[in-house]
Amino acid sequence: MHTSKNNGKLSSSFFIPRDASRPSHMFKRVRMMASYCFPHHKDLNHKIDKNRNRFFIHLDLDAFFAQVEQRDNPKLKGKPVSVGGGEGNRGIIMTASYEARAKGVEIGMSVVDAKRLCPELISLPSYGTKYEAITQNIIEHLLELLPEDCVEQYSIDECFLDITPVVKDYFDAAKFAWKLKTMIRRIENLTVSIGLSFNKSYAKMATKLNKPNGLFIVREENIDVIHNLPVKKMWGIGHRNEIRMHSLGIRTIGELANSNLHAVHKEFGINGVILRKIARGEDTSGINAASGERVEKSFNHNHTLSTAIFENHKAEAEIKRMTEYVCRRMRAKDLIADHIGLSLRYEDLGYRGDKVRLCHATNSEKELYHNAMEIYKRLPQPDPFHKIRTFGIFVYDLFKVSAYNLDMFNRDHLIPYKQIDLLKDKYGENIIRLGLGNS
Amino acid sequence: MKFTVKSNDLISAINKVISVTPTRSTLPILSNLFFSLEGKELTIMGSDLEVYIEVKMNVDGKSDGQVALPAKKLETLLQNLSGKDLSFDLQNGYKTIIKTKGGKWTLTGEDPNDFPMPAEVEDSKEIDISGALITRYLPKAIHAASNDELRRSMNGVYFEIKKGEFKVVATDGHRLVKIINSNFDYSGEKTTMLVPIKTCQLMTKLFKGKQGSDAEPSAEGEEISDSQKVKVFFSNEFLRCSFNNVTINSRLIDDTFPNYESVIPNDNEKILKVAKNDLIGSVKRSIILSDQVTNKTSFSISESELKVRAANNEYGTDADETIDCSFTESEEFEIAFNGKYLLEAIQHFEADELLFDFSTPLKASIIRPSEQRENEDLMMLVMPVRNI
Repeated sequence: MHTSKNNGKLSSSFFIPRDASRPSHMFKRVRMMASYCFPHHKDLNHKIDKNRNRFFIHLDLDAFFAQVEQRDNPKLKGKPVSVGGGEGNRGIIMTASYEARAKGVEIGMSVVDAKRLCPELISLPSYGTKYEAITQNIIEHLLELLPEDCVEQYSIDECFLDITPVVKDYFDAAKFAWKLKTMIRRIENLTVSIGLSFNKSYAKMATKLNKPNGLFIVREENIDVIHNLPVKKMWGIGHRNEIRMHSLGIRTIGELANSNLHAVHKEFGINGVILRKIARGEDTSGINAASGERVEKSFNHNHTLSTAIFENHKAEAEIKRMTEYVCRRMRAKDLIADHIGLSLRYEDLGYRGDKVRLCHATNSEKELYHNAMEIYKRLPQPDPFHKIRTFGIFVYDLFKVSAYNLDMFNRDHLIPYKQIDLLKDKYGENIIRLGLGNS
Repeated sequence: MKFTVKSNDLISAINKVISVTPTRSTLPILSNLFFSLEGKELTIMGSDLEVYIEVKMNVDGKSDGQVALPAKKLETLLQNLSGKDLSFDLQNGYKTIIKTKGGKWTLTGEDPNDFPMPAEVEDSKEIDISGALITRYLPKAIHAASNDELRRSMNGVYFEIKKGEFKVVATDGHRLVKIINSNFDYSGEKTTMLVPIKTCQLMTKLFKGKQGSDAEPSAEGEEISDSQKVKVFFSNEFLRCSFNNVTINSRLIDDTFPNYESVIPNDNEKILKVAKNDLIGSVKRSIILSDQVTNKTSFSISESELKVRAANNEYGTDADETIDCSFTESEEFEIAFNGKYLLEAIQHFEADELLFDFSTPLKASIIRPSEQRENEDLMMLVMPVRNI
């Protein structure tokens, strides 16, 4: 559930009802939004020879959240740990340590399912701000080694580096990669996996080949390593695209690289051409201006309940709680939203959602809550046989404002949000809540 | 249908009607104009289903009839036929032949029965409003009305008519205009209506012009005299008003106008007096250099000086001007507005000096002329901009 380059538009798969045949762990819970930037087709139009002598590194923190928790609490070392969900058995796993992964625990699984597979699993809640601070620190150190336009933060635990300006051959590049590993070990005491190749997408795929704490180099000479991988392992190909690829008789990345351009174009459109180019190692996209501050374009907050509900008042309370949370995050960054959406997942795993444009952009929870409730009333109402399991609130078309025009018919500006937020920061989310009154 | 007419007369009538014809519509018949001839009277009507405009004119009629003719084609053709006598002749199959001395043009029309007709205004009430009130008050009010479709109740101008009083209000939540005429010749019960912006714009545009010379609309800004009355019939849903030979039929907004009285403050005691033209000039200049999103223009007011400031950090621009004023408080007072809203408001005043009534930097400010016209009470209200 990411937003693509044309921010504000939801990925088309979002509203497609998913059938029960897909297991629940296929649903990813994304709390920390990646600034998703898959190569754009315009990036791929550069001359090929220009990219073959470039060096890209993809850096991936191993089981990031779990590793951080194990680092901060040595008692957890060597034990299966998962991060995500609340205390106890609620929620969905965002990251699992390698010990847990060995037992079959996967990202996106519910904690209950995971504990069935691995009863000794230690499930911990996540601390988003802590992880963000660590990532920020690492990025700052990287920026000391490389020019600003050579560092791209791809998500909270991944980044791309263009090291062409500082190295001259693969030997140099490998030395540089080890230097990075030691540096991150020194400053944050964390291990990373590094992929090194002549373009971004190969670097990303290379990382996966030697995990954890590894380094893998893909050069022209050993390009077969990538080409022999199943097509699903390719960046940009997920469950659905894999099925469509299979229908074209494409099973490995090599087969995609050597496939008929027209057949791929017919099936996937321009995306097919991009995927085929990437498979061929013709990804000429560069670093997507990383530097320091990332401007959020949307916020998304999903919550899976431990027991499904159908009572309207409980749903209302849940929606209210979530809007408050999202609004507080917006206010912390001085952002206001133009659109709000609500998505519900029912027990039969069907997704329903809708969105509205707000009267005027705002981050006032009162207004957003009323709009979210309007959407809720439009969606299929739950009943004892059709309970709601997951709530999702998303706000998008966010923009930063320094000032806003007051509205004479809306007294929300009289609510001391700044002070309320401070209270919540200090004493927790429940110290003060939005009242039920209508005004 | 058969008649002869001077082309210039017909063009000016069509120009009035065609302003409402939609360029693209789901109902193709609406791109036509409805022509109907009865005796010597030709009626031309255009519509977009919300508003209907009807113009009546005298022609040299020979036989009665009705037809719907393509608006755009007819208009362009007539523009290129100015100063000629035209004869119209309707044939079978809605073919209309337009003849001049030495020329013949054929247009194929549509079935006039397909053209939508305005609903009859049932249990209507009737009021006569002087044309001067409409052409003077409406432009002042329209600018404050909201174009946001999500705020339907503010998409129009609110008329409130009661014994001896005529009131016009418009707001979009950020600014508000209220004009009261207290010398209004009406003795019936209190009535209200919410007229869509588009209808109000058409009213000000079409009701300008002197009686008798309806072919030539009067120059911009020229007022029609107080004695000329606009007849207004209205029910809960529809409005029908006519002036000279033009009749406008419109749907009213079926929503409750917000309770505007409750937001107008009555305890604003800090009063600023400033020359209108000085203020317009400096606000205009500061908008150029202000923040592109909020157009924030701040005032800092001392006893005899008003500082108008704006800045845009993104482009590194700022404006800082000082103009003379008089202020009732000795302590410096700071407040900020959206410059565009402020400019639109002050440009609609005729007085040379304006009074601003402030209370706090987070409460509505009132703008009014230093001297009200006779029997008139004009005020505008602007909400301030607040820093995050």
